[in-house]
Amino acid sequence: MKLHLVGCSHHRTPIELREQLSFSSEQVRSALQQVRSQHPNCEAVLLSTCNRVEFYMVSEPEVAIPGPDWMVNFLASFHGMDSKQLASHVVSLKDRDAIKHLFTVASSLDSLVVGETQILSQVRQAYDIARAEDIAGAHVHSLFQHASYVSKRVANETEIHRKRVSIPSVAVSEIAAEFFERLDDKKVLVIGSGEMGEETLRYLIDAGAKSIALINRSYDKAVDASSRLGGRAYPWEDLDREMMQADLVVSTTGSQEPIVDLVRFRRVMSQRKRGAILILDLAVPRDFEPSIGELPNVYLYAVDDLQRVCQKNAAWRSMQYPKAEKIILEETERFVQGLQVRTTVPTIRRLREHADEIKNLEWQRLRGKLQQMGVNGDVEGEIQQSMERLVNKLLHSPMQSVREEAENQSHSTLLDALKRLFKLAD
Amino acid sequence: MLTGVTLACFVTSYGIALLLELSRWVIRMPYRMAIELSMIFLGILTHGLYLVDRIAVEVQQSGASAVFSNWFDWALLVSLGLAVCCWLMILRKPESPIGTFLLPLILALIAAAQFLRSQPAFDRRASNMIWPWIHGISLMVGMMLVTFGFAVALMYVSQAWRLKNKRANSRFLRLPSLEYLQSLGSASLFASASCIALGLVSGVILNLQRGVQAFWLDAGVLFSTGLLVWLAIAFVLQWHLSKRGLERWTAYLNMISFAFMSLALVIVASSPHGRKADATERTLPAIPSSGSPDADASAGRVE
Repeated sequence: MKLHLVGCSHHRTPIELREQLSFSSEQVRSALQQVRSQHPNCEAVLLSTCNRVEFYMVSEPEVAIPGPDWMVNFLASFHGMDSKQLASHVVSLKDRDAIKHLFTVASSLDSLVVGETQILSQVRQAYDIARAEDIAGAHVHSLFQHASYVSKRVANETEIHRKRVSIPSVAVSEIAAEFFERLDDKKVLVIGSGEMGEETLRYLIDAGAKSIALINRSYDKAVDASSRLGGRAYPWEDLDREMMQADLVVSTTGSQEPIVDLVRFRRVMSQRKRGAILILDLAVPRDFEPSIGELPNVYLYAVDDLQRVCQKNAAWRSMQYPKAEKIILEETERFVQGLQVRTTVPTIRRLREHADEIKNLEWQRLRGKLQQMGVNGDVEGEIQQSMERLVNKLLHSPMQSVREEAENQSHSTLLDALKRLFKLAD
Repeated sequence: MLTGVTLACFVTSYGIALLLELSRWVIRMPYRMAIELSMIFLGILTHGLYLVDRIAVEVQQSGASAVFSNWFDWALLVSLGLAVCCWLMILRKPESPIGTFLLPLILALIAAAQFLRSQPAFDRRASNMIWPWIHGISLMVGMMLVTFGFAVALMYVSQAWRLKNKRANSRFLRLPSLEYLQSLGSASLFASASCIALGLVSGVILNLQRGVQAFWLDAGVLFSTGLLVWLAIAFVLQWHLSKRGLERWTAYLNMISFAFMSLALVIVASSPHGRKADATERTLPAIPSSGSPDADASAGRVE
């Protein structure tokens, strides 16, 4: 199998260029159709996410595969870009390096946020599109199946995905989880429906929260967010009432001044009849006056407290990196060895067929003579089995050597020798 | 002993488990949790075997009525119950240092059992009846639950302290959630009060059946009653305070209950409560009862 990859990612390509180069699902389909029409004997996959665009092309060893220049030109011309400008930003990899890269990407080790799980579904989606466009064959199938397997191995054998690293995810999955066993029976109040507010809302819904009140200065914006994502919008004037009833408050407004000061919060607490309240103040500048956290039964976490947890989790993930990398190296070797062993299969099969042909010819000749001599069926059977065993024993060692050589990556010389020795046609 | 299991077997198992538990504060160790769970399980197994062994010996020597006829056996039974609770809790929340709180209590109970080993046996009269068993078992479960509630309260206070001080997500002390600890504390308060009440009522019935006079003045009965009254008050208080959002009081009430129970046990153990009249005789009846020590030991004897 020959494999070429050209691509760019957040590592060395500026976002402006990545934006120009990115493909929508429809564009991916259209691009793959063009590739198929130009190179019908090749297989291809196009992976396009926010942080990367990668173009994989695969072919049989004996089939000509387009070089990296053609691939870069293709990407550039598809988007009407200057290919020279693009060439200086893309990375080009071949065979083993390209395989290792795909495994690294699918395992989320190459992601902007190492360990994020979205990338595997994006890789799978890219493969599905290629398959739907009939440009993914056996090689792409085994490559992407193995990438998926490697990603699962990394997830299972390391803890790289375990700890969250974004502020809203840490707030919901780690801090709130230390207070509450479950969220489906808790009253949650989200203040602010900006980007952070919406992201938090998504995490809360994923974590099982059912009773979510959403409050924003602009009521319409709160209604819009709640209708798209979930929860129930309330006008800004209901803030105190909702705080009185909430078990968990997440605040994410862009206000330049604290929206809740100590006096106001004391008033809320004096009328409150519920237990402890957890406030996750994700806003910068802060929405809740820090002194509120000193009140009994109030647990106030500001963005700095959460940031510390995020950093700790990111450090934890990087500690897992060597272990994950080792798995990727192991699996790359395994996959490459598998490919090499596969290339020996036709030769081994032909050798076997060649030996069987000779054996059958000899058997036919001998059988006639045996029948003339009046040898009974049992003796005939014994002789036939003996010939089978002889062939098997003679072939065992050369076949074993070919397999071993294939695993040691230097099998082509031996295969050639075998073909020449036994005059095996390609 | 029939199986050759000694007290040292399970004390060692629990001790190793405690050391492993404490090591989480210092070093990371692969398979620590699996080894710790195995050690506790081994402890439970040998602990159970030891008690079965004792039952077999007691039955052989003095008949069925001698089973669990002293403080030593009962304290060991309570510690076994706690060890099972500890094992199940760790299994459910393997990341939490639950053993740090429960294993020392288990070992302390075994030490207390050893300390009380020389105490005379209980009055075994009427031990073939159901009431002595109900009395003994409910008091034992009640005590176990109060001890368990105390460990949960310690965990709650630690968890509340670290969360208030923004120490969430600590690698070393990742306790169960406040909500979980609160509900566990509340449940153990209720369950312990119910068990102690059942123990007290069954003790009263037992004494009435025996025709014991003035048993209300017995130290054991007085303190059991006191403990029950306290637990009932504590349960009502915690229910009321939780409704007002003061859940942390459940933890404080559990702690006070444990202190109360410990005091009551010290006094009861040093009083002649439940013992047979002739305290020099060692092979005595089954269950700690509220019976009068002065009652005729031969009356209603079942042998």
